[in-house]
Amino acid sequence: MSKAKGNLLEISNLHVSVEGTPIIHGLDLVIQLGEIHAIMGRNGSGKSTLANVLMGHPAYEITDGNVLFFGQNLVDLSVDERAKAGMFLSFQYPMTIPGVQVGNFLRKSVSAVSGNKISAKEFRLDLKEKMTQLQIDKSFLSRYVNDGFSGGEKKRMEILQMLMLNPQLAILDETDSGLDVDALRLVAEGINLATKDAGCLLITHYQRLLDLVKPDIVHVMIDGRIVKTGDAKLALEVENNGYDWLEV
Amino acid sequence: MDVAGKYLEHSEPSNSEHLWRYTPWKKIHPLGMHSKIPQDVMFPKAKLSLLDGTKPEQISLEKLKLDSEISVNDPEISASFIRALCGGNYYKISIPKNMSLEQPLFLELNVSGYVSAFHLVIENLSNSKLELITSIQGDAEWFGLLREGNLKSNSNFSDLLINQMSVESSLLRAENFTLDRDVEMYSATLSLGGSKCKSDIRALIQGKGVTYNQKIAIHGVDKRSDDIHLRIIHESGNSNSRVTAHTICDDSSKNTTTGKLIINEGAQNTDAGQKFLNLLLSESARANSIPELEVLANDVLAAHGASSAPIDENQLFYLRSRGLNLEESKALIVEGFLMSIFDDFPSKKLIEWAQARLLVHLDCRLVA
Repeated sequence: MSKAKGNLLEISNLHVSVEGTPIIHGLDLVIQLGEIHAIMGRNGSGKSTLANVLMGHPAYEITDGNVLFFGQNLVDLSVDERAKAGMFLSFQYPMTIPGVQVGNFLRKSVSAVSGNKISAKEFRLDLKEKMTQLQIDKSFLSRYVNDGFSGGEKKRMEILQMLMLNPQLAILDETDSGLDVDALRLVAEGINLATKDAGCLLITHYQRLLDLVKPDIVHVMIDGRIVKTGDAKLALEVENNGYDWLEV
Repeated sequence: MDVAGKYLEHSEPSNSEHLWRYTPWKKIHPLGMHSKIPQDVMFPKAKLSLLDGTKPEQISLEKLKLDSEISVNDPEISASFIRALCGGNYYKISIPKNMSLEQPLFLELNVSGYVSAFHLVIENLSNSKLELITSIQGDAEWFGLLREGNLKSNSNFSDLLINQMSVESSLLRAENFTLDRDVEMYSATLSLGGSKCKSDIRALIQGKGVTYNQKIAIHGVDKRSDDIHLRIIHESGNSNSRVTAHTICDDSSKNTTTGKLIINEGAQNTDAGQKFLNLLLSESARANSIPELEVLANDVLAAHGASSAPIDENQLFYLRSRGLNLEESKALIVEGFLMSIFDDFPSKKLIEWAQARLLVHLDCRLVA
C-alpha cells in the first residue's frame, strides 16, 4: 500500500507531570503522514499519559519540551481545536454521557470538525456505510453515548467516531483491550481504513492487534521514556521476552 | 367567607417551617406584605387545543366560579393566595369517563402585567386517559399558578409543565392532586424561565394500586432562584411513588429542593422513593437538596438520596476531543442531564416536545 509522506507530529524532549508528579521524562518521537507507530510498555510506563497530553487533557501538564502538529505548537491549541486540526484520540475508557443520544452526538461532532461542510444527507449516508462496515446496529443511534455499552461496543463506537471524523492523526489507546476475536478483526479493519492516508499512534499490550494492523515502527516505553525503537519484529520480541531485557 | 377572607385567615408562615425556610412567604409574595392582596390582577391569555393545533372535541377549558361562600380549606397559604387573586374564578378541564385522547392537550398560558394568576382544575373521570402540556410564557412580573385535580379510579394522567417565562419574572406554583384507586399519574416539569420560582407540589395517594411519578428538570442560570417543595402523602397501601429532580445550577443561580414523603399507618406495602441530583456548573452556584421521610407503616420500601457535583472534567474532555468547544460541550451535557430524567416517562410525545423546547433554549444561550 502506498502512503503519502509528510511531517505530522514532532515531539522533542517532552516532559509531562500530573498533579506535580513527573510521568514522562524527555520523550522524542516523529510520526510522518502515512506511518503507523506502535507503542508498547508496562502498565504505568506513561503510554496513556502521552495519549492524553497530545489530545490536551487539562490534568496533564507539559513541563518541558515541544510538540508540533503539522508544524504548529500543540500547546497553542485547545482540545477542540486539536480535533478540528485532525487529531483523534480513541479512549481507553470512553466516557458515558447520559441523556445524549449517539446519533445526535455524532452529528454535532462531525459538524464541528468539518466546519458544517457536510449536509444532513451526506452525513446519514456516510454514517450508514460506516456502521455497516463495523456491523453496528442502527439501534445504537438512539442509545445514550456509551451508557450501558459492553466493553466491545464502546471500542467499536470509538472506531465509528474515528471513521466519521476522518482524522489526520489517530491515537488509539489500548483500543484492542476487552475485544473478542471477531470484534478485534472488525476494529482492526476500521483502523486500517481510517489510517490509510493518515498517521497512527497505536498503544497496545498485545501482538494480536499488530498481526492485523501492521506497524511501520514499534517503540517500547519504560518509565516515561522511549528506550527502544525498531520495526514490527520488536513487538514480537516483547511478546516473547517481556520488558526486563530492555531495562536500562 | 369569600376567597380573600379565607386567605387572610392564614397567619404569615414561619421561616422555621420546612416549606418556607429557604424562600420566606414575604419574598415570594408580589407585594412583600402578607396582609395585602394585589388588585388589578391580569389573567393570562389561555388557549386549549390539541397538540397539532386543532380544537379538541368534547373537551374545553370551562370557566367557572367558586360559590361565594366557600368551604374549601387550603392546607397551605400558596393555594389560598392564588385562589384569592383569581377572585374565586377558575378554569376546569374535565375528561369524561372511559375517554382516551389520541393526542395530547396543549394549554398555552401567556402571562403579562404586574401580577397575573390562573387557577386550573383537572378532573380525570374513571378509566379516562389524558396527556396534557401546560406551557407558561410571557413577561408578567409575577405569576401565580394553582393546579388542582381529582383523578378518579383507574384513570391515567401524563402531565408536562414547562416554564419559559421571561428572565425577570417570578412564579409561585401551587399544586394539589388527589389520586383514587389504580390511578397512574406521571408528571414532568421542565423549568427554564423566571428569576424566582417557588413551587409547592402536593399529592395525596388516597386509593390503593396508585402509581405516582413526579420528575422535575431545572436549568438555573444567572441569578435565578428555584425553590421546590414536594409533599407526597400515602394514605392507602399497595401504591408506589417516585420523585426525581435533576437540577443544573450555572452562574450564581440557587436551587433548593425539599421533599417530604409521608407514609401513613394504613399504607402498608408502599414503595416510595425520592432522588435529587444537582449538577453545579459554576463556583458561585448553590444547590440544596433535602429529602425527608416520615414512615408510620411497618411494611414499606422507602428510599431517598441526594447528590451535588460539579461537571465531570473527563466528560468535557471527551466531548471536546470530538471537536465541540467548551460551551457546546457543556450545553450537550446539560441537555443530557436534564433529559435523562425523562427516560422512563410513558408519554414520548410530551418528552419529545419538551426536548425540542430545551434545545431551542440551549441554542439561544449558546448564541447569546
